[in-house]
Amino acid sequence: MTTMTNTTTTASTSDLNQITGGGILRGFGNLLGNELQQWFGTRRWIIHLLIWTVPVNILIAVAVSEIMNGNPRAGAPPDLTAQLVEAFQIFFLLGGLATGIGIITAAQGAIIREKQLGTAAWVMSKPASRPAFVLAKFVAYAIVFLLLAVAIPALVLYIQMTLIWHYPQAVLPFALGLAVYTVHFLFYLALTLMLGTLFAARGAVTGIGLALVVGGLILPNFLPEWVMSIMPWGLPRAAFALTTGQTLPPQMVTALIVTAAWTVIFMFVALWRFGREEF
Amino acid sequence: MNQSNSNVINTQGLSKAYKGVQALKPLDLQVRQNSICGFLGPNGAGKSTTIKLLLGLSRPTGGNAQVFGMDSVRDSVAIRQRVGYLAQDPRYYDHMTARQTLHFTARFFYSGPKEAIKERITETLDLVGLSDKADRPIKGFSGGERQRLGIAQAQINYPDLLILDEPAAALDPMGRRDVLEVMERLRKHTTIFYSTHILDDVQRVSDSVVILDHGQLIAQGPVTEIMTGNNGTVYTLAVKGDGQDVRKRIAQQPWVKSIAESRHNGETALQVSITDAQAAEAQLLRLALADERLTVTEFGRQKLNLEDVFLQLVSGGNS
Repeated sequence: MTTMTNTTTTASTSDLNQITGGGILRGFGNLLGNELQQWFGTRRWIIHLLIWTVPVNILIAVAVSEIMNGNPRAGAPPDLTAQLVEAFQIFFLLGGLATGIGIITAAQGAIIREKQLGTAAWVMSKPASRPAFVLAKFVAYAIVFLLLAVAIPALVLYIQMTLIWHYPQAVLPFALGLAVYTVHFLFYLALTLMLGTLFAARGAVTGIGLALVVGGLILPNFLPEWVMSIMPWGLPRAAFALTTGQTLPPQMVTALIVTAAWTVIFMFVALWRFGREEF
Repeated sequence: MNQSNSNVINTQGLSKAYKGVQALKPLDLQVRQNSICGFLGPNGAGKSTTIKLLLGLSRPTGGNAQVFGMDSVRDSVAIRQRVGYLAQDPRYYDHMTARQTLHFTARFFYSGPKEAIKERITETLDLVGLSDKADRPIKGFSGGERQRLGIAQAQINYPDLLILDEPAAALDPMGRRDVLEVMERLRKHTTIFYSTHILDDVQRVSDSVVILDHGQLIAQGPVTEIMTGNNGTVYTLAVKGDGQDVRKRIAQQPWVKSIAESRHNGETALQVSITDAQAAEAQLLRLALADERLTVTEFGRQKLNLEDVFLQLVSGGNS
């Protein structure tokens, strides 16, 4: 049987650099490292990378190939603009829907699971601030999704365009489109984390989040047009428009600003609520 | 250093209510520096609630608590910097190994150097007897191993105060003994405030005791003082024959607080509660022997164990 040793402790604190100060972000680096380790220290990131890269980019490849081959029955020549439009439409519109659902599904348990398992209480018994706990989750999921669901699929698409189809796409409009696309998924990430601090069960978090994503497919047909200005639903289309060189209509600019504001508000609510959490 | 300065924990009217239910009634608690303080009470007495309030894991609905003179709500991060805490049902990230768990914990306290942190982790694993399991995922750990890991993570930062919520609950007798030994070893460097149901352990290692019942403080003080029971020092005197005369004589003494009497098979047993132990020691037996018609069959200072006192206090419901 293993027993505890009878030796007294020999190391001393003088050898160690003690972290001092009780700043608002105390423990953030350690918590962020732990969050990222849970992705990149396991196979989880590979699975997500495949999920976000393979289907979308294969779908784009198939769609573009069909256009390049032309319509055999009509004998139409390849339409270069149509190829680009098709590729970006699939990337931003289909990808936007998928990343919305994906981030909600991936982050639904980020806070609730830790509250339920008791690991949040354990971490909060150490010198870590509550804002650091929530912000570490936000930053970690943002980094992971930005990398795996935006940057790498976008890079693959860019390579497909330039090297395979020989239609180099200007980088700046594409980057602007990707920035808007990022604002879109950050909205759902902040929403999911906020719901995680407000509710005790995952069902409510997932249900509300997914209802909002799916609502974006249906509700715009029934709601007044101004609603689109305060919701993130039009952002994938705005990203697509920016990438293909179009000017954003004022309604989309408003939607972009309001969505960013929602994201900040959600995070404030999440920080406030988690700050009042009783463990 | 005055009394309040030498207290590591000080609470004034600290209370907590959950949805109208008073989990902790106003509590004035003091724990002295470098003491081992046992925190006792039946299930639901409010022990874990008190501990969570001290650590800032929960907010008081009334009163306040100071740990190292710092406010438990406003300065909770600074307090936790100097505290090691083991929860009643400790939970860690299951995918981590024991070593990774300690590394994660240590990084809340220390920024480096890496080698010194590694050394501290190795030393701590050794202290709790987990060196041979250090690199296994803790998912497969037994309750006892988790508890050992809990003790390790609680004292990785050389805490000035160790708060342990049922530290020996999941351990076998050997493990329990080891935990007590670790606690005794650490008392040179730290104050230990721990809750437990194992009263023998408290009696063995603690300097002071706090007893809660139904969210209310019912006793607090040095173990020796608490052990004298609710009625102060009590002497037992048993005589053969009618003990009425001797009872009257004893009752007239100024140092006698109360006398309880019981009779069995021609013997009279007196439980004499006194206020002056020295006077009682010198005179009580003489008072009994002065009556030549009586034979003294038993005389001595009543020795209660902590369990007796605890049960007396908790079931009596008085303070």
